[in-house]
Amino acid sequence: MSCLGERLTALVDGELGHEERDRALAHLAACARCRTEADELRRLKSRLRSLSDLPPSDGADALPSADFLTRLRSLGEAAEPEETTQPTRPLRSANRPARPAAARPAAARPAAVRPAATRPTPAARPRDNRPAARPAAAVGQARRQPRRRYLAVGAATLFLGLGTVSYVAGGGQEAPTVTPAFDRFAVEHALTSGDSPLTDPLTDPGEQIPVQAPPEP
Amino acid sequence: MTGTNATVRGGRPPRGRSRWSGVLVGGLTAALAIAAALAGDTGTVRRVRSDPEAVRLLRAATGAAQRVPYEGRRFLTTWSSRRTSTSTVRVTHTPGDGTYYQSDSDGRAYQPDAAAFWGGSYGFTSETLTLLTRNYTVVRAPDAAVCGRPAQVVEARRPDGSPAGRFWLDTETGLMLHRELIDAAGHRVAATGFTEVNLAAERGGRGTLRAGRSPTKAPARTPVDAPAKGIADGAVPATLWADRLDGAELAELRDNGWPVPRSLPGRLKLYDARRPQSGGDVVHLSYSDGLAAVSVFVQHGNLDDRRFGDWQKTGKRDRTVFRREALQRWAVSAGNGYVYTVLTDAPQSTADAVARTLPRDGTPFWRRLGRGFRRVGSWINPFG
Repeated sequence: MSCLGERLTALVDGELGHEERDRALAHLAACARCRTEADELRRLKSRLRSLSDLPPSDGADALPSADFLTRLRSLGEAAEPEETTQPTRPLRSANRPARPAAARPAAARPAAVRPAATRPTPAARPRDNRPAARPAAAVGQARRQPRRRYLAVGAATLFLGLGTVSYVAGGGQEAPTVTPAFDRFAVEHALTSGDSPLTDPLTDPGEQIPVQAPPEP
Repeated sequence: MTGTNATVRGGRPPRGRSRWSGVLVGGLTAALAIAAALAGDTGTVRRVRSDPEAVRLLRAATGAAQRVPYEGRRFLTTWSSRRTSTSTVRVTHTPGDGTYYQSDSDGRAYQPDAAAFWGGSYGFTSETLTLLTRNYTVVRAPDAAVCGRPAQVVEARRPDGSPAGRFWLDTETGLMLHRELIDAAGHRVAATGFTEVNLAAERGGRGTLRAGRSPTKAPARTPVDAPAKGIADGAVPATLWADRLDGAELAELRDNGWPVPRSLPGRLKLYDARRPQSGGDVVHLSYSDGLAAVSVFVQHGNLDDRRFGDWQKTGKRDRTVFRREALQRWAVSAGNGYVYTVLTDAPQSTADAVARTLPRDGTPFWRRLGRGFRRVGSWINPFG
């Protein structure tokens, strides 16, 4: 607290009389603490004045805008678990220009369900110098995305690993190697086809005997 | 909408209805075409007009082969583009006992009548006769003579009228003396029969030879009651695998993954399947079109290629077939964990086509992957 008390504020606001003002300035010349406090008050006042110099909105300045309330709600929602219906697409940057209001019938959608839809256009609202409205939600989703990525990478690794192991393990033959029993097969065929069971089909007959010519019918 | 309906009612057929009618007609046509294709040779069946007397003669040959005692020398000759191969064997049949075979290389075999698959050496089963009359036109041909004996000739003709097979049946006893298999070009493919034969009398007149050939001209022969002697001499009993598979057992085999086709190229139909009584991973599938007999032996396992060094290896449509054309035609292929051995008296092309038709391996990558996955599963399965 300064030595001048409320008079310091009055001094900064230019509300003191002539004599009072001279006395206050004399004190400021001698008191560094009050001088510093007066400087801070002036800077604050200057900043507030600069805010008031911005172009007025559509006459709704007197009341908090819907956008302001929405952003306040979003700050609260950011601390809660994300809804499962939240889209997984990349978050829209706070500085990204919004789509034209005509393309988005914001009034037809509840602000709580689709906050971004109710965001007014930049021309219809004061310049937003505050931090992005949904940084906490973005951080929460950004934390969950690596988790999903890890899950996908793990599943792919498991699939590829299992496939590789299966391919390597399946290299050998499953059934035993067999050799046809030609002699036995020949006998079996002869008995079913009416041939002699003594023919040795795998040995070329060395005896090429002339065959009696069958009579022509 | 009203305007559209008015236009439709005005005379132009409704486009949607017309389209649906077209689809319906097309579908019915396709269904009929598919049904005709599945029915196989239905048209052929209708075209066949077999001579009942010719069919009766062939059926009678089955009984004659069991009933008539005979002795003689039988041959099997096959023709290929490169050479002619012949095998001969002495044969003696005693009704009620069996048939005794003795080869020139002193190989001996004895086939008891009780274990004969069908009517002795030349018999037809009802199944093969049905296939014969279904696929061919069976007619009588002018009589002839075989081994000095008068014979009735039956000819099986293709739908185009060309001969596909001929049978010479002894006029007196009905025994089949000779038969031939003829390809579409008119060339003989295989022939079997007697080069010399003596037919003994029926049971009542045993010992009295009524053969056409003079006994003095006949070569030295084994007495009719020689089988007992033959068995005593160490003839090996030649019997079929005893476990004949019925329809349910074949269905079970198919369910277990065994390839058991019901038909094969060339109108070959499965008419018999059997396996050894002792089991084993082998099944003998017998196919026929009524004339040609094709045996397919299916074994569970993989083929050892080194065994086929002296076989001709052919690769067609990514299918490797080992073939050998000797007295009979062999073709061996493998696929899906099974080995197929095809044996036939029909032309080599038939054996090759059958071996190539049988199930082949799937995609090697996926087959190997699946096999490995099953193995890994069995490793980690505590109950496996």
